[in-house]
Amino acid sequence: MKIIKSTILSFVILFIVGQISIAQENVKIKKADFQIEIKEVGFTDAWKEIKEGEKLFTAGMGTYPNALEHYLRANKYNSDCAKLNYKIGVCYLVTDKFYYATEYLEKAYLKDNNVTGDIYYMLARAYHLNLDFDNAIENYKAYYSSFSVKELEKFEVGVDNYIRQCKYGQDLVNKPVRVIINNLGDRVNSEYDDYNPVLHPNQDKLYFTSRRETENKEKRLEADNKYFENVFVSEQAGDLWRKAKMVENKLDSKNNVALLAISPDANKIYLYNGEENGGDIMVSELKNGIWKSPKSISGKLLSKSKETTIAFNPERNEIFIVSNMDGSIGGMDIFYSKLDDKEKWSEPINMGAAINTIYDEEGVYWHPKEDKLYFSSQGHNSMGGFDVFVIERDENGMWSNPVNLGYPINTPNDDIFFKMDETNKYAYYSSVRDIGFGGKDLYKVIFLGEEKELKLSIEDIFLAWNYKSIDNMFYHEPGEIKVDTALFMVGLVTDAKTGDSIQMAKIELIDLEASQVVATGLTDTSGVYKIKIPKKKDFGVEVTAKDYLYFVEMVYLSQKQVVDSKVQANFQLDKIDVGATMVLNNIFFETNKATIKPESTTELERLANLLIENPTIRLEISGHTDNIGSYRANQKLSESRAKSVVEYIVSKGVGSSRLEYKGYSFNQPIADNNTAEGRSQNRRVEFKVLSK
Amino acid sequence: MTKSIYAIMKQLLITLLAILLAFGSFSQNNSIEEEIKELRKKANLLYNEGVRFAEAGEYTEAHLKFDESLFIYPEFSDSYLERAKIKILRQEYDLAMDDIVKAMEINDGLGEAFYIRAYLKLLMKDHQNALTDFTHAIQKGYTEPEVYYYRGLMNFELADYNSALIDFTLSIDKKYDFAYAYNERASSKRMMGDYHGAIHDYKQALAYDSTIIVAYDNRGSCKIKTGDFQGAIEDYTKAIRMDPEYYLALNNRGSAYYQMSNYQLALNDFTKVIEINKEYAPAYNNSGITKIKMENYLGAEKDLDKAIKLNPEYGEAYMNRGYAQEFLGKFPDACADWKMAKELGIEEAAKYITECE
Repeated sequence: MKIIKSTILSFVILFIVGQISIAQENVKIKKADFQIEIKEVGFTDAWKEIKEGEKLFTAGMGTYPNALEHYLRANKYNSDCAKLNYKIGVCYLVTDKFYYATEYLEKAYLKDNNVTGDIYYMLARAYHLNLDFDNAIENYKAYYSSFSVKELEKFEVGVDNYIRQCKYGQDLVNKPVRVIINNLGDRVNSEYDDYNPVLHPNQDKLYFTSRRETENKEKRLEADNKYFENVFVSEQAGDLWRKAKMVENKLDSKNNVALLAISPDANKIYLYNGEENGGDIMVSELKNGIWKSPKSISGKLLSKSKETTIAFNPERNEIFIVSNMDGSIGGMDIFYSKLDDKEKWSEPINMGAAINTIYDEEGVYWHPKEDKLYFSSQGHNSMGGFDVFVIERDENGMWSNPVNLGYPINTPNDDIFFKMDETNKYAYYSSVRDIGFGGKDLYKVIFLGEEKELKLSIEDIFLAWNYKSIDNMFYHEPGEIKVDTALFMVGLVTDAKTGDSIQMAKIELIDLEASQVVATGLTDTSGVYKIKIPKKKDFGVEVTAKDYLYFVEMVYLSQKQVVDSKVQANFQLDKIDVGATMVLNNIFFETNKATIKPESTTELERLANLLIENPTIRLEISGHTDNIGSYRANQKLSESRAKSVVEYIVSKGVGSSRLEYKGYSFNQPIADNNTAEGRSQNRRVEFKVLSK
Repeated sequence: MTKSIYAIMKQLLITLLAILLAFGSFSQNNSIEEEIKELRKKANLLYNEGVRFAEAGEYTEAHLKFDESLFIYPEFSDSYLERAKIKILRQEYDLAMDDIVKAMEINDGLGEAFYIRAYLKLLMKDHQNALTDFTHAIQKGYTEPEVYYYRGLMNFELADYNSALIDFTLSIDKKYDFAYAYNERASSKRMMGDYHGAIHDYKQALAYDSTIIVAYDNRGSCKIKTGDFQGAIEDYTKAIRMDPEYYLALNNRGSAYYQMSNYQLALNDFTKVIEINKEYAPAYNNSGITKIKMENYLGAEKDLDKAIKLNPEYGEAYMNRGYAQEFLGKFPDACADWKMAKELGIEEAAKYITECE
């Protein structure tokens, strides 16, 4: 197994961290790997593409996008070559089209799970960047376990931090912050890396650093094969930014130059000069309309180490710089220095282990109006690459712990050089996102404040009368209502337990011969109802009320005494309480079967309605038999019948989770099994309220 | 023909008056009573003819019969009432009112007169006085199911939903298949938050009259309240099939799709609503918020501009436009809109305004 160590990066550039911090294997694609024996046509051209791609891939990360174009053309000839798929995947990983990487790397692994020694690592990186944290962790672990103990002792593999990042990522993605992140567009961004936005105090110009190709035909940096850094500026025109132009290099440097900050009065600019002392901060002053030659920042801030970004507090008596000078906890750290009485900067002091980590910190920036310092870090609870953090200083001068600005501001890629607006409504920063133009791009973050509810407008015509008036009210009287000769059924509906009257109970009179409701009535506030009876004969009556079990019974009006055109019938209802039971008298089955007879429909519909109108109740439907036959056979039959009832009710739209069914065989008789009538009563289905 | 009848009747009346003036004795009075009885009988015949014409939809003929009846016997209150009904149908509301008042002067115990006057007031949107008259009609014994139904309508219009519910129930008690009463009772239940009860009543309304389109639409809206979005969409779709121009149901179906996060289907419906009724501001509002969900903030802002242009007092649209502008980073504009929304009564805008400050 080949160990891959971190590449030591150049010290001459402001910012260089690739999306892959551990260099990938440059596995060579051989003809034998690529050529398909029976497919001569197209091979020659495809092989040329492979060779060209290999050249660009070997040159370094800066030309991976170019290598990718060749690899993709070769892939049309043979899309099953494991090594080619691996390389396409790796190329995609370093572009902002990183979401394509997974597909190719998975295919490479599928075709040859030993395609390279770092295939698990690359897969893990692809999953990690695409927020698939579970798969990323699994593959990081697989990569880690592919090393022997000796190898692990000798080299630092460094996936532990990635695994931690994945776990932090899972938390952060689950609690997204409310922002909109807009790409600044192709007038500002390029297909190359663009980063470090610096807004002019007048807010009308945006300076930034870019590694795009320029007319000067700069060389590429050896470390990553990308073009050198240059400063660009774009001017604001309304809501848009004009086409960015390169700012002339006033330092006359052959190395990288970046603009770091502009003083609030716009009379000083702070520059990064990659040529000085491995990278130093310089300052240029505007005097009489002319920018003076940049000078190294004064006094004790000078070091032989690399200093990159810089920030001042609003009073401009404190300075915060990022450096790897002596005293660094690890890599680049944030240091601060104070202006003494003689207007000299004091010895820089490391901000401490609560802020700096063993990983890099970068992109320090002070809020224009508040005691807040923004910076990016690969440590703390970063979800990958650099994440943006904020610390706040209280009135006693104590710094808070760093707070991750959260997803989607931060991503598993590098999110850095964050510059918050004084209103806390906007920020500019650099990120790698799938809406980019290539590499790192500049983005504007819009902070949305708290969640707001959108207002739908729904309108109804509530009254049918208002939609289309009823036909002429005067000459379409039904005519059959003859109040003078009518007979009424009157009575009281009460709670069976308490005797309290029930208002708004509905009484339906059912003509059993015609199978239809012939009259309905509601109780008033005293629980009294009055229904006009079309004819003095026997009717079925159904009484329903909210929160009560329904009641169904025959009313033998033919046998009742008529007093003053009225017959009396009172009803008592049981409240829906847990444990309340009711026998479903009108459910009929075929003999010795669980098949429900059609005449059971009304009762079943009634039961379904009870469940629909009381949407929180849960019922147990139980089947019971008489004692004819074996217990086991009766148990099976009683359970099947209960199940049939449940299935019917569920078919009416009632959730199955609201119903349980049980068969009790002949264990729970309600009448004497020694008589035919008793046995008939014992053969029944009933329900019990389980919860409400 | 009609003129000749008038002439004969007029002659008869004149003759009658002449007799009354010439002879003042008791025996002569008896004879006059007989004459009056005869005239009333004739007027009644004409009245019955008029009713038959009216029931057949021949209102002009009916009107003439009532005129003749009243010419012969000017104290015939029933004829005034029937003539008033025809005038109402012809939308001659002032003339109808004159006839009703005349009938009431002749006989102040006529429940039906109060009922017809109440109905006339209902048509004239005088809901409070209509309610009073419907109640008087009932107190005077006129207790047809329609009286309770219309009084229920008035209670509903006056936002007394409990009383409306009782009236619709009384109306259903008297006429069990009164589909419209079921629909209106369902709406009363809905306004009182009893969505399951409302769904049940809408179902009853449709069982007795499957052509009540609004019952499908309303039932759909109740299903939304119970979380049954799929059921709601099916109901709205039925309403739309019955009346493809029923843009309120389309708007509601779009809203259901919106609440199910099916934004493309929602947008399709809102777009159709706008095609049907370009002046319907809520459709622009809903289209706007759907575009916000689809991250088309500029499109959303444009739709919400239109909604506000159509209805400058549309608080919700200001709220939503503020939201779109926030996404576009136009914070001052967003704040101005939320302030406007608050002025227009959207209280929750207040907390958004604090963000601006």
